[in-house]
Amino acid sequence: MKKLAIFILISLVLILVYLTAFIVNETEYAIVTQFGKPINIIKEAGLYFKLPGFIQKINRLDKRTDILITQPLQLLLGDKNPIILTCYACWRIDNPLLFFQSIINKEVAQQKINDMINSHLGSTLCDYTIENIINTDPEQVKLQEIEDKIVTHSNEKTMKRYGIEIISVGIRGINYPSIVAQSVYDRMRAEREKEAKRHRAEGEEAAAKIRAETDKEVAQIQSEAYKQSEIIKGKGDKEAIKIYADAYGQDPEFFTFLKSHETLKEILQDKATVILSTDSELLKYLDYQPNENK
Amino acid sequence: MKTIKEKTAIASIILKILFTILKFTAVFFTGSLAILAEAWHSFTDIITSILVYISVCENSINHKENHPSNEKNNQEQNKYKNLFTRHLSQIITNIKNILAKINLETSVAFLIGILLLLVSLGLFKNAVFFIPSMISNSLLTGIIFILFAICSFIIAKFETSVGEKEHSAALISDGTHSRADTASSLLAGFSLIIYNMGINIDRLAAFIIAFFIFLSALEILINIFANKNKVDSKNIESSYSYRYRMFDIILLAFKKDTWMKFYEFIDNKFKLNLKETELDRKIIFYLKSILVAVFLLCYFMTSFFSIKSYEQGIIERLGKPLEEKGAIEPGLHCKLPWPIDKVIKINSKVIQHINVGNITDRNTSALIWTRPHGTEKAFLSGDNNFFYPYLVVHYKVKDIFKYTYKCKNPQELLNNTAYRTITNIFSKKTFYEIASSYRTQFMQDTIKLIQKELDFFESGLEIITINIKDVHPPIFIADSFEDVIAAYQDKQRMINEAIGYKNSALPVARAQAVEKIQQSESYVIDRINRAQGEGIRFKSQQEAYIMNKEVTYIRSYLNNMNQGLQNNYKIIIDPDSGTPEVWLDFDKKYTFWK
Repeated sequence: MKKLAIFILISLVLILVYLTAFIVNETEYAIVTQFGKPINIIKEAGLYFKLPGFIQKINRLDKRTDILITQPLQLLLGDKNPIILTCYACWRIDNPLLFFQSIINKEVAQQKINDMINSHLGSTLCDYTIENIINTDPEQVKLQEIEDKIVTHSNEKTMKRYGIEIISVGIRGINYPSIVAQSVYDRMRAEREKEAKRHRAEGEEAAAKIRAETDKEVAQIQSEAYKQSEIIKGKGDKEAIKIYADAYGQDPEFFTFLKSHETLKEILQDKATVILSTDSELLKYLDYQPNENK
Repeated sequence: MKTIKEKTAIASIILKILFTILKFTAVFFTGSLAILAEAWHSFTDIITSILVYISVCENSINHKENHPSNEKNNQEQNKYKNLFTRHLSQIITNIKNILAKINLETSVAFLIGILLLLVSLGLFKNAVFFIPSMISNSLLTGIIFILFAICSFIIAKFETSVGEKEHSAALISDGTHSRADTASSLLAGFSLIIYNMGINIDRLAAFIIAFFIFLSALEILINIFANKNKVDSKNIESSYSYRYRMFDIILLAFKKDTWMKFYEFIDNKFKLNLKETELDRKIIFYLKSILVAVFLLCYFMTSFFSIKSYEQGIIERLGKPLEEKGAIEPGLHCKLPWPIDKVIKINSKVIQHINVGNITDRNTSALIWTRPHGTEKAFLSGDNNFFYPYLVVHYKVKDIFKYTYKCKNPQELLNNTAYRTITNIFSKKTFYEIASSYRTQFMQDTIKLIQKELDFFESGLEIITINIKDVHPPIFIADSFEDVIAAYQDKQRMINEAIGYKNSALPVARAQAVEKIQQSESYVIDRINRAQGEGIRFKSQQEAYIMNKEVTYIRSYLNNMNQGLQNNYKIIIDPDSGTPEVWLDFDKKYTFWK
């Protein structure tokens, strides 16, 4: 019975320790409340003591950075373009007591932050156009600026009233509503068709250009060759004429009759009917008597 | 007027009902299987205790009989039955005595037996197939259960001592039963306490306790059938003697006699020659020491832990990480025992991956634009086109302290940061840039941007690579994208054909040009040579001509005329004979020569 008493005593001590001691982890803040009234805020990890469960309670809050993804939101941009944006926010508890009193737990906090960010997203994007969100010119894209603005606007309220610090907000998805999406698809197809046609036309153009240039070059080469050959021939002719003139010039009279005779021979050779007078030099001797007529 | 035996039995029933209620409440607080089984077990104990109470009452009526098992009287049986009916009819008043005499006892007992059998089978099934959820409040409940065990033990002692004093076999038996209950309560409590240290025997404990219930159920059912047979044959012992028959085998282990016999047997065998009481004390002392030693061993085992080759660990002393020790590398290590030190193990050396954008389907054989191959989540490119990127980020943990204490969910952070970065980059680039020329640069840019963001949040993660597995346009317009590429090929083909024409036409032209020039040169040579030849010939002729001009002239003339006029028609006219009438024949054969 004595042993039993000791055993029960030890058990009771253990239960007492279990009820009063608690460990606060590195990852959390702890708020000790006494009948609901916060009396101690613990920010450092370690072993702490309190009165047993029903008198004092521990409320643990995660101090690490947490992330939430907002609901995708369809909104109108400044140029009346509809767009669907999905954001995420990185946040952490800045003031544990304020957070504990105003928000109570993480689920509520996430809902509140979600509401706030989507609201700020709507109001901020009124000042921007689709060109500031999607553009091949990097200078025009202002996503970073939009994100920064939402962080600043949200923190104005959350830091003072909710005990939450929003560290960053990021846009993780951009999309179009389904009707707009269909027209985007159609436009994409049209653009591709246009592109294909352009390629084919460019091909034809380039090919025609090359052919024409080739033809021109061929003509140039041929005419050049003709010119060259004429020049060469002319020079040759000049030489030949000179040689003839040289030779024939020594006795023009002889040349004249010699050439005349040869020419006559050539001319008269075919298809000519010749009427000759008997008085002609040729037929002079047809009835010639030496020394009679003279 | 109640005897002390009756009072004891009633006290034990009340206590057991209280325990049962408390244990069922504990099930809701913890969710432990062992406790559920233990609660049902308590429920069966109520039934047995009620039966004990009945038999005790009946014994006090037949106080002349020393032991119910000696009773072989048919009358006793009938009296017992009447008594039972009386008790039951206090609860159910409107049932006729005769009807109740025959059926009520057996049918109620039968129903309870079946119920318990089903409960035990259900618990077996749970213990085998049910995936246990987290057990909450385990330490406190465990300690409470140990207190229950102590209470059970006190009841057992009390019942046994009263039973011995009053010579009631029923109470002694129930005391033994309570001893067994102590064991199962201890088992449940112990399993809960060591669950807190990280060892989970919840399933095993539930299984053992379910076995207890199963035995109770069998015992009740067997008793019913045995009783029925005895009634028929009119050759009976008291039903009480059957009540514990099945359970006796188990209960043997909790009876002092059994152990004493065992010690004596050992003593005789090994000639230890110890006195009975001494032996008893020693054995109990050793048993207790072994129990304590096992418990202490289990406790101090919690101060050893091993880190696997792909892990690193952090020791938390009273919630605070021991950062000065740094990350604990693989191997066997010591720490202070639970609950002072805790170990967190993290897979820091394994390269892990997350999919960003879309996830390709493993079963797809080839990633082809026109065929769907995974999820289809559209992104927008800077030139306003939808497209579907499939990215895989490879990363590992580079700083486990930051990884554990700075961000609640670093993987989630990585995922979101990656989405944000690629959305941002894609919104500035055209589709063709993303799909082809920008890819390499994209990898470098994204890694740099995401790493910067991860370091800003002190997530302790390191990006190793970002792989663009695939990028494709919407599937149903992929054909028009491919047509563009076909058109581009057509363009190249046309240009190549034209170049081919050019390549063949120019050499031909050049060859003709060379030929022409050569021809003209040969013409020149021909002309000059002829001229020279003819010139020299003329000179020679002239030299000859000078010698006799007249004759040469005549000779030349005649020669030429001869040749020239040889084949012609010749009309010869004499001028002296007047003007001739010449009829020229304009036949086809002749051309008039002017």
